Amino acid sequence: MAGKLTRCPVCGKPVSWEENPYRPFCSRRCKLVDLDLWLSEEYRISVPREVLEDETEEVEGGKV
Amino acid sequence: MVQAYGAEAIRVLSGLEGVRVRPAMYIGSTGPEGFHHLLWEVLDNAVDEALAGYCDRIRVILHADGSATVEDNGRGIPVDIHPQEGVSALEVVMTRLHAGGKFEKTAYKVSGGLHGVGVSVVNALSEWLVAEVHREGRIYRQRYSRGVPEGPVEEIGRTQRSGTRITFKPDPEIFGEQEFDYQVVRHRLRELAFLNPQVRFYLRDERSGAEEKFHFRGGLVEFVQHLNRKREPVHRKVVYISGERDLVQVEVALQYHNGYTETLYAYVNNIHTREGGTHVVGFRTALTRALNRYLAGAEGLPKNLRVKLEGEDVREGLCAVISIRMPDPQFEGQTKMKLGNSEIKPLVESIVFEGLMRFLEENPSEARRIATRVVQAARAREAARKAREIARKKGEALEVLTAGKLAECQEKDPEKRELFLVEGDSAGGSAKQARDRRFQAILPLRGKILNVEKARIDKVLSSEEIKQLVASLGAGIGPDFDADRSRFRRIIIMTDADVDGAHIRTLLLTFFYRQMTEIIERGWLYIAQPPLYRVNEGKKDVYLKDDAELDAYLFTRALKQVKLKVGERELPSPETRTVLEHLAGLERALSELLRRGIPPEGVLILVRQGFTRADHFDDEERVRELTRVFRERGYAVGRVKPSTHRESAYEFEVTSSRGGYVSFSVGPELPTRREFREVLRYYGKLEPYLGKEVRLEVGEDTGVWEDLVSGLSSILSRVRELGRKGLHIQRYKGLGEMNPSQLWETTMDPERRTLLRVEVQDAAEADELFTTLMGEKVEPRREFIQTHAMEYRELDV
Repeated sequence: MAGKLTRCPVCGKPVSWEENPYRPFCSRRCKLVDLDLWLSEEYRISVPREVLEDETEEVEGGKV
Repeated sequence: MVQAYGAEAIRVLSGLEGVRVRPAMYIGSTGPEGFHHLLWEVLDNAVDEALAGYCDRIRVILHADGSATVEDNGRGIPVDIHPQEGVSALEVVMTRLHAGGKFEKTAYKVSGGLHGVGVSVVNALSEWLVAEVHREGRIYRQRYSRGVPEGPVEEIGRTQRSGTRITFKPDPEIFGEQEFDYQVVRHRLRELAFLNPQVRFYLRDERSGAEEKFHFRGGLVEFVQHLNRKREPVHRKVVYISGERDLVQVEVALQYHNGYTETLYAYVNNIHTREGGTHVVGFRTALTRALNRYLAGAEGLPKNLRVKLEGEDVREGLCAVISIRMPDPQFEGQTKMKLGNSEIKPLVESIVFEGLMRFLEENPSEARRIATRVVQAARAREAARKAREIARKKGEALEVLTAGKLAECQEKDPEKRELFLVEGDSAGGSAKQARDRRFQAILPLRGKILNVEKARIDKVLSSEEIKQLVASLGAGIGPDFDADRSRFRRIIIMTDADVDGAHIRTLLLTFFYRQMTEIIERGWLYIAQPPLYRVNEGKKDVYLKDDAELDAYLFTRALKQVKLKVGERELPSPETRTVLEHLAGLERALSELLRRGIPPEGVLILVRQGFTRADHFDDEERVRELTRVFRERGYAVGRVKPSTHRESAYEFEVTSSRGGYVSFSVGPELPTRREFREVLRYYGKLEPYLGKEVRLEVGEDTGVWEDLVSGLSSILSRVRELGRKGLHIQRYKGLGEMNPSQLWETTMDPERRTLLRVEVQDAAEADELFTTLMGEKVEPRREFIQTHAMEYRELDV
């Protein structure tokens, strides 16, 4: 990641990785906002129910 | 409306005695502030005339001899004889303390000069002063020396204009050798120009020849834009509110920016109230109330914006100017810069609240941006509090550890300790049995399932689990996080090879990437590699890590019965094997890209058109050419626009509804992806074989294809089918399907296992995927997930 520019996961601003104590965020602020979102369980992965139901079938032999 | 402004409107309060004896009592100090105060006093009188509606031009001249002139085009100070004093009203105004039209509310509704003491003080503190009045066709003049008239008011000529011109030289006996500071004067004039958009201000400095004009039709809105000029505003449109009640006019303009500081300027009758006061309190209360009301009530606002704001949240990144005009302001505070009138708070509050609610309602997109901004401030405040709480409560951390969730190990040296983060309770159970308890600790994490809708479920890491993770690591969280304190040097994520596992893994990787970045940078985070397949052939069991290993195994078995002919040439067996492995590699790389929403055909178009590096997208004409190719293949193509990833490059969106809705961006970012590099690598290896007819004999069966790539999946599936004969292949869906000894042997035993060390780049990719999966509910994204969700079960990192 050296020298690479990424984007702040919260505000989308370009972020430098080097000498940035808040990496991958742009600021202390955005890092805290992110932490609060984790702790208030706002970060969700949403899955269609049928995908999980399909999982119960036995998969025999090879690729799915 | 226009009241007579004659000598009878001037009331005399007291004489000028004492002003020269105790100047600081009247103008604060005899330093630079007091010195400039003289000019403000005269200037305020001119602005008052403008506020009353009689003047629209004010000129300030700084002369070479140290004197200054303020000239307005108002009505001119009355010169007729004052009924009580027996001298001209001009002389009364200039020589009697606290004399002036402003003390009589009928003449001026509001006025600015009140924080001062009247122009008579300026006169008393000036070596000399000349007042010139243009009024009713005549020009009058009176000169004063240290406040004392040198003679009566003289009529010195005729005029077409009206107005007052005061020239004065501050007395060196009082102020010593001081000069007017151009920058200070300029700043005040600009400020007045913002506050009084109807007035043109001119400034000339005869000492330097500098000359400027200040006139801002946009008023407070322009003021806020000026203050925010070097910042990045959160919303484009400046919020402007104005209202009048009980003779009080309230004007507010505000705009949020991306910084953290608050910039608030509050004025009462053009006086900058540096210490705030009741108008500022009313404004702040209204702002917090209105934004809270909006967050609670606005339709279509995402749930994560439903937060209760506190006063400090709405102050962050706020740039606001408040200007009120009122009769009888009472100033308090150490420097008399604080408004004290208690009736102003509710008045300002209700005008601002109503105005703000209206603005938020009428400007939904600006409202949404403002809401997001202030909610972020609230979240940061909350997070800092929670992080302190988690980190501080040593007792609670111990409780978590002893509550039985974490199965501790015996080793004390962090260098030797390993922490397995295991998905699910049952897997956690077998991991607990399988582990070497001397140095391997187990923390089961299952994620929390939320049923939000009938058709779908949401998965989160519960806050409880995050707390357990934080407590287990012992390195704190948020501002207090310190990787050195981590109680483990190997943290190993061990999840099932199913959708659930992939999701927990993505969540954990994203969490580590964002909140414990250093753990990844130091190389302490790993992913366990449980076998994906158990292959049973007679009495022999073989564990295979992934699809590539399975393919290699199957190809070996099938090879004896496979003949591959490319063009006229039949490939020898080892070459056939290599070609098949490259084909399988290409297939995997393409399907990984497909999981990220980019269909194989799209990728192959790029490869064939030679768009294999980011800088290939720099040539706009070539990129346009590329859109034509996509269009010919039946894709809908968006506008070619400058890339957001690379400054010099171009990109465009491609959409297809064939075989499920697909939308992806074609631009310089694509060739930089690891999967894309993989595609190129395998494609390159296969290149010598392309463009030739392919004939595959598998046992009795023969197939013919135009080319290796067009036959890709059918060639591979035929060979695999043959290789699979006589085998029983079990695909492990969960760690729980292995018994503890199998789990130990294949996955946990340091002697035999392979661990994948997580690199920052891997975690960044997980973050990206996570963002795609969780982002706000946008229709294309939902369809994307529905189309490709099946693919996620094999999500790799």
